[in-house]
Amino acid sequence: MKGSFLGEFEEVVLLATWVLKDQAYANTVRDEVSKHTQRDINLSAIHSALYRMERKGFLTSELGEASARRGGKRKRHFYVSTKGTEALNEIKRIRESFWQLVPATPVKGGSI
Amino acid sequence: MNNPKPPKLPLILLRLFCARHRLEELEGDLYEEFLENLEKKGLSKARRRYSWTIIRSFRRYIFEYQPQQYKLSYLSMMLRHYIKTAFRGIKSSKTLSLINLTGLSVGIASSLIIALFVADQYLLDDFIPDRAQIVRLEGQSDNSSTVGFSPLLHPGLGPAISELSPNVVSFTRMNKADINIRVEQEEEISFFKESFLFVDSSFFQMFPFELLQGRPDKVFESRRSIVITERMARKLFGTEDPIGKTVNASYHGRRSFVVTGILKDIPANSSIQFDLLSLADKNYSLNSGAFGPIPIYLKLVPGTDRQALAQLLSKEIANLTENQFIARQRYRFTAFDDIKYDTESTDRVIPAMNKSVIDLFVFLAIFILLLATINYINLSAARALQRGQEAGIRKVIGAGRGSFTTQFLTESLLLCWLTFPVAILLTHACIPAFENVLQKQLFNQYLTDPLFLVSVFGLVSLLGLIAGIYPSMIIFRFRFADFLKGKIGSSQKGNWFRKGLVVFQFTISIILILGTLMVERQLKFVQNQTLAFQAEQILVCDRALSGKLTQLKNALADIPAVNKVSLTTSPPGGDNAYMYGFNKTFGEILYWHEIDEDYIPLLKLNIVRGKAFDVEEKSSFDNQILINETMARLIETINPFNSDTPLDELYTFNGEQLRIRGVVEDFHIQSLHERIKPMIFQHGGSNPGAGNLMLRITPADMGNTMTRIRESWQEFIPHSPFKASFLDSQFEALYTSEVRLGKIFGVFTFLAVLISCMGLFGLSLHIAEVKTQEIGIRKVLGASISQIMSLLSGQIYLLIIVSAVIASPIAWYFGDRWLQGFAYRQTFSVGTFALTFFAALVLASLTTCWHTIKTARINPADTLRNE
Repeated sequence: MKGSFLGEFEEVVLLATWVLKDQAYANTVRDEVSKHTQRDINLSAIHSALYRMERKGFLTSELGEASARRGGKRKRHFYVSTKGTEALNEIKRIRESFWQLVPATPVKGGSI
Repeated sequence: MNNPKPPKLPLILLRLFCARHRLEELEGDLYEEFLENLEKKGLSKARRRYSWTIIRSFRRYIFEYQPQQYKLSYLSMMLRHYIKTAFRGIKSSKTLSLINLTGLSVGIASSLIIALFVADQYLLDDFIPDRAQIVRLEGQSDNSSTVGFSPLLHPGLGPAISELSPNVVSFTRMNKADINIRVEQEEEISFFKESFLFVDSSFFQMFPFELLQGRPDKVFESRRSIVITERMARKLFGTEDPIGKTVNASYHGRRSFVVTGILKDIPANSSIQFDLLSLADKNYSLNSGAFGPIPIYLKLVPGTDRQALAQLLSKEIANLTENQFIARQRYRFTAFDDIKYDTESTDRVIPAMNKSVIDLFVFLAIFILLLATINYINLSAARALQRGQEAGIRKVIGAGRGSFTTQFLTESLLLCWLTFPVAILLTHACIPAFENVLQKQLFNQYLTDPLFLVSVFGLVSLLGLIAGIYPSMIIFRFRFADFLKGKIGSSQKGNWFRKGLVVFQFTISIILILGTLMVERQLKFVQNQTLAFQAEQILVCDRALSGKLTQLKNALADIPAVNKVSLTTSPPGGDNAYMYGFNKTFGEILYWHEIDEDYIPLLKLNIVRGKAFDVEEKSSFDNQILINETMARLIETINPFNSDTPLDELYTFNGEQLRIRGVVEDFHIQSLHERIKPMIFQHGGSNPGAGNLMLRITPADMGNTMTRIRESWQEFIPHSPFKASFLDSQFEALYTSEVRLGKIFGVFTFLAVLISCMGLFGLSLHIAEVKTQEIGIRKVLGASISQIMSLLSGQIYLLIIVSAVIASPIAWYFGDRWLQGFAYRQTFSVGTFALTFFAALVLASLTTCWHTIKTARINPADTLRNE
């Protein structure tokens, strides 16, 4: 179905949001994604992905509390929607069905 | 710092453009990240990261404005609106926009190319820090008939002037010559002809060329020292260490030099180019009569009154020398930066380029840019008028003058900014071709020069502003009613202005076409002059000094394909070694050429009076001479003995009584820039001092002939290298600057005409569109297609005729001034003018006919239905 497709980066961001439960906003999501992927990621990339997925309906959001640490600005919390969890599960299912078919022989040219 | 803050400017940008409902959370996130980075990585990194993130944030999500929140980001919204309508405008008239874009890019690119080459010439030598203090000494002798100052002076003047005034910091003589050198290495002898620069040891104080090996103050401790460039070291000695190696050269008795230093290769932006650097001869005393004249360069204390110093030298020189010639000279200084433009008094060191050629190119650049701008203004105005209704509605809704102006400016700027990368790419792509034609590499790296990019961008933006203001001005002059009736499109307002611009464009184009034709004609004329010799069959060998030249000549004459061989000082077209001197009796400088009996028949010259030299009359070689027609006229005019037959008298030349044996027709030994001089031809006799061999060859089996000539040469003169070229190529070399000028001029003329035609194309499109309804009605009433075509294009022909009338006298004036530089020239012909006008008319018809025919053939029903 068009619109339910998730990019690799989007998938990771969505997973991070899910893992963080009600602590998910741009900065924590960034830290979480960085931690797991071991990559340095620019905040704007996270913003872009979050807002895009909100538009597509994978995420919902609401404004949260302000704090001095944020210069008195409120933060936007993101939550994974039902559509989001369904999309993640779908991806997992597709991947696993592939993995079961992968032969046990080593990849050509590989050393492991 | 107690309370470190994130950088302000990025935040302001974010606040300006970001959608209101996103701003708060984004700012918060960014600030939080900033504080985190501050603790972990320090202030500067945190600030950099903050700015970078904001720059990266300019993506779709910050522009997701919500409709009900328009008022919150007014500037951003209006800009968006303007940009949107601008793009719509550009899209709605694709042809006009494309013409606009192409014309402007081509115009900007071609003027950029010219500007780059001119800037390169202007920035020549900018690596010499004190060049403002460096001058060249020049002298003028009163009793010489040549007007103007010469830089070739007595070498003793350098020390003399530095003793006269404390303002002289240092001085060096400089002389450049191509000299044959010989290098012996492991039993192998190789010959080269390379450019030497002869200087004084103070050279490096004035011109700080970089030494890779050796110290500037030490390299010239011996008179046999020589400093060579890296390039030359590789050429002569390969990979071996050149220091201490011997270079043999035949120069004024000094035969062998020892390499004491290696120079970094001379940069291409130096006007002084050489490969070997060695000391000039010892200074002669100012009293010595015989001297080799040489250019002298001085470095003066900053702020020296140069005129006063020159006057001091002119006055005091009489006390320093008994040589009347030097004592009578007057002196002046020419600034180092002016020497490269000084074609009047040239030395061999710094090649001079005619400043008027550079000016011409600057004018060309400005003209082309003007043409492109005019096109742009004209087309934008036409398009703006077409969109009169849109403007009318805006005005009724309440758009003020400011908003109109902003809208047109945005549109114009956008289009101009689109041309910027196109123009830069075009420039970049075309530069190699121009380097090829001009035989000159651009030295300055313009693409990586931020100043260049910024100034071009600024120029483009300025163009956009200028071109945007005019249409907004004419639009604003109309009243509301006009707008809503949609009458603006066909309005006459501003029409005379646009027509004036078209006339201006065509005037410039016609001038350029006339100029190009004229340069072509003159070049063809010049080249035809050399055809008389059948120059392509005459081979000229480089000058060699040897006692065996006569024997070599006889050996060469035995080769069957060689028809004639002549030994002379003066092959036509360049490398000459003739003498000249002022003759008191005739009050002019006379030119002496040493020839032999084969010279005249080899060049197929006619004898107009008397006889040529004849081998049967060897006695005539010593005391008889040939003269040319110019000399004969001079003798007849002056007639020193008041004789009835002045050409039969005996005259004393160079202390010898000589009889005139014959008169040769006038022919060109030098380029056609020079007037034919009074010339005397003397036979070299049995022991000639001449050094050039000239051969007339049958063109068949050239390779074999050349091999045999080379073998004979090596047999008789093994110490000097054999080099030869054909006479026609030597003559061509005399006109390279004109040939290049012609080519470049041609290309830019083509571009200028192309741009003008684009403008015309746009204008005819506009006229056709405006008049569709009128034509519809005419057709209904019975007008034929040809009548309608003449109605549509009649105006344009009128404009071109007006342009032609304006252009002719201007082209004639400037062309005539250029031709003054040639002593022998073609004059303008009426035919050239007629041809040009005809071409302009044809061109204009071709450009306009497409629209004209299309409009004339439209079914009137289609156009009239609109009403």
